[in-house]
Amino acid sequence: MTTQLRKKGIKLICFLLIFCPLFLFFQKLFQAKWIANIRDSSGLTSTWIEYRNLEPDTVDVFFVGTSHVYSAIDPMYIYSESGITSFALAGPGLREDLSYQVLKEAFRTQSPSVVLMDMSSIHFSEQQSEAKIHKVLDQLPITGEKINYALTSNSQGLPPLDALFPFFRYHSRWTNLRVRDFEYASGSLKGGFCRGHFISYKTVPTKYHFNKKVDFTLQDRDVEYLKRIKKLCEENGANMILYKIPAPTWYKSQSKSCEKLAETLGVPWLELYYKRDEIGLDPAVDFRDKHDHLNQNGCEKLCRYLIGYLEENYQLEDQRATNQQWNKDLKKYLRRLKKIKKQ
Amino acid sequence: MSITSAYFVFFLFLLFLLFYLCPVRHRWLVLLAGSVCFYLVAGAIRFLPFLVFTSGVVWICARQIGRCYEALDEKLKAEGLDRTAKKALREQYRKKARRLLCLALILCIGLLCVTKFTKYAVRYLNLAAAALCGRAPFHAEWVIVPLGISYYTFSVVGYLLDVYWKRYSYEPDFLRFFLYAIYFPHIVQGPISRYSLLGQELKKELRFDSRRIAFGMELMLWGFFKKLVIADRLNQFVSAVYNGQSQAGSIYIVAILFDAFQIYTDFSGYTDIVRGASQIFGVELEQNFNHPFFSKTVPEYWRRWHMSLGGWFKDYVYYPCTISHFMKRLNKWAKNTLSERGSRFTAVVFPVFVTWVLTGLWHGTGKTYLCWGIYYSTLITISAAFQPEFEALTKLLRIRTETFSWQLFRMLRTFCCFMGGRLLTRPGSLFNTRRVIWNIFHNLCPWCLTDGTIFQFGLDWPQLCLLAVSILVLWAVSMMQERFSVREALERQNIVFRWIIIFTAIFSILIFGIYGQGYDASAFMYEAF
Repeated sequence: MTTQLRKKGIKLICFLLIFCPLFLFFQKLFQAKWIANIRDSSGLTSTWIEYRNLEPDTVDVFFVGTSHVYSAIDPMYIYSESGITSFALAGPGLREDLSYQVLKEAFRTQSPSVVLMDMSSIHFSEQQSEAKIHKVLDQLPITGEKINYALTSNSQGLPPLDALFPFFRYHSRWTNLRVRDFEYASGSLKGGFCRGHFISYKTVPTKYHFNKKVDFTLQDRDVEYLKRIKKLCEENGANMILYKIPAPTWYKSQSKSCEKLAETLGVPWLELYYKRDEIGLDPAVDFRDKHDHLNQNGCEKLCRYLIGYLEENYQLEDQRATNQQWNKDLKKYLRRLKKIKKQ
Repeated sequence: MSITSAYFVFFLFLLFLLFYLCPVRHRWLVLLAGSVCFYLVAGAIRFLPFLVFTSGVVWICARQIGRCYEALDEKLKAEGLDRTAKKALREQYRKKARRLLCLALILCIGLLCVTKFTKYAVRYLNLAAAALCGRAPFHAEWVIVPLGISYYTFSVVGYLLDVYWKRYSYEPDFLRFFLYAIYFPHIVQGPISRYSLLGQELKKELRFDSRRIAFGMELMLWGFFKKLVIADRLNQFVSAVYNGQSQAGSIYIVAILFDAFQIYTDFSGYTDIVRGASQIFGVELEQNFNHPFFSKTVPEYWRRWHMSLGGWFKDYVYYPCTISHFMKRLNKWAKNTLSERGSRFTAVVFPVFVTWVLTGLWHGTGKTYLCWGIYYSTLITISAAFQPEFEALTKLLRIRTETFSWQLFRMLRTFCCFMGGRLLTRPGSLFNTRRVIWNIFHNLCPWCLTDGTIFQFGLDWPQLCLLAVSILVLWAVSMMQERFSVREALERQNIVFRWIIIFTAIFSILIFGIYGQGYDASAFMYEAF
């Protein structure tokens, strides 16, 4: 009886040993992917492959936030100008709860000195779109934190099982699988070299609405997660900074709330709206769409300012002479930049 | 909690652990607790009192009837009574038992009728009132239809009648009886289990048997495949067509064909899932389907389709009807006044009509279901009454009845009869049925099948190909099941082959199944009855 039971136990273990890798393979195959290319504004999948391919402890600055971050922050430009290594850990409409998840994962391989949190996300309503959550969450491995997030994700319209296993959400993609899906599932897909930045030279003239009167209060959930992020940064020896990338749709009431919050958290508050003239931003030529995203011109202006700010306030190493991986990627990046500019 | 949801799988896993960790003699209590939890989650807490009431009434009355018979037996044994006295005594106790039976039947069937028919009755009363006094004074919002009421009422009423007819003794333990009524695999959509089978199954020692558990899981897999891969995929097309997105007759013909497969895979898929789930706990549930599409006649079809309901109506309606005083008198009259065929016709027509109209009303309350009942009673009566003529015609046309082609023709004929029945109920109303038929004859539009129109109803080319393959698999497995037990045959195979089949089944369901966010997968079709 005992031998029989043991045999059955071994069979069950073998069954699970086959099932789990197969399931994970199919999950990777079917999950929706955002692979960077010229047209794609959110190549999160390839960004995360790129991030994981970086040599450990080589990134000094994290820029965390929404699509404003990956449009306005160009880590490769910052590197070419100053030698400071940074990464744009951003996602469309990335809320603070997900930013926390992203940072938790990012700190596993890198130990930056500075973490800049963009506050653009406070614009968005509490309910986040399911697709946007998947875009970010699916790139993260299953951890205790992710399980915790999944258990509360029902309130965001995302069933817990789907949050943990995107296979259940995307299994119906079998009708439109592409070669890239198989490349990704087999692990042969290479990451990008833009460090999370999205390049665009499009121009859409816009104007600021800063002085418009708008009632605003920070959501408790955002505050709660910013506190957690602060704690996480402290645990990992990073300095947290709250900042706001200049954007036309940004109001005084929001700015004041962020200032107050920064005070409560005991972190610097960098309101770049007030610095827009110093940065040299021109709403007529430096934005690429009606959603307030900066184009490459505006991005470079902003990055120049941020380089000055970082060099002035933090002792960050110039890695241009030593970091081979970044130098190699910079060459590729400059070629890509040229190509896009020509188009 | 739908039985195709991940929550059900989780529930089953949890119950499985609790069940087998519990000592054997208390395992039925775990099943009882699990069944109550399932009923509360799948339905609502307000449904539970109805179930407790129905099973309580039946249990009390059946016990009283049983005790009444015991008392009668004791009296008959104890006293030296003469024949007349014994007869009087029997009659006295039988009267008492009948009164109890009637009371229970009125309460249970009455409750079922109130929940099922009130809305329909109120609609007609309001129409009448509106015609007379210009307003609709009656409301039916307060009426609720408890989950599975048709199924559990029929199960417990069957038990009551069997106790009354002395087919078996009453159950002395209410909790045991309540478990029979609420047992989670059969509460929502059947099978309508007999107490003589399920009650006894639940009483036996429910021991761990890995072979039986594996068989149960395999049956569940097959059920999930039928429901999620075939039925819910077909539902996308059929619902889109019947929701008025098409006017083309050819599309309607495809929808009618798809609908036949949908209802079969939906209901038989459900049955396989619950039978498999029940097998995991060592409890065998009755078979509800026996490949009905291989039937060669309509009566055979109904012996293979929803067998537990058919069996119930046969045992508790049809047979009692044929041996009732009214039928005896009618048959006597027919024998004396009509020809031989006339008397045979009379003997068949009334019980068949009553049985099928009631079967129709069990399925639904509208005119469509009444017509459905009349449709089947007419078909069955004609096939029984004119059997000699049909046989003579076959001889006259020199048809070789033993050939495959003839058998295939009979199967297709039966399948068409079934589709005709579905055409009465699926479009939702007789008006819609008429619209569908009108479109088939006046607006056939055959090119809609080739010009890409067919892809506008929720299923594109790959989905239709997948559907074709899935139906082929269904057919192949059904053919095998007709000849031998597929699960036993699979068990005899080498482990590599066996696991390839099992993993293919699991991942086919996970990948090709219609479930999850973004889909509004249909509820089980028979849940509504």
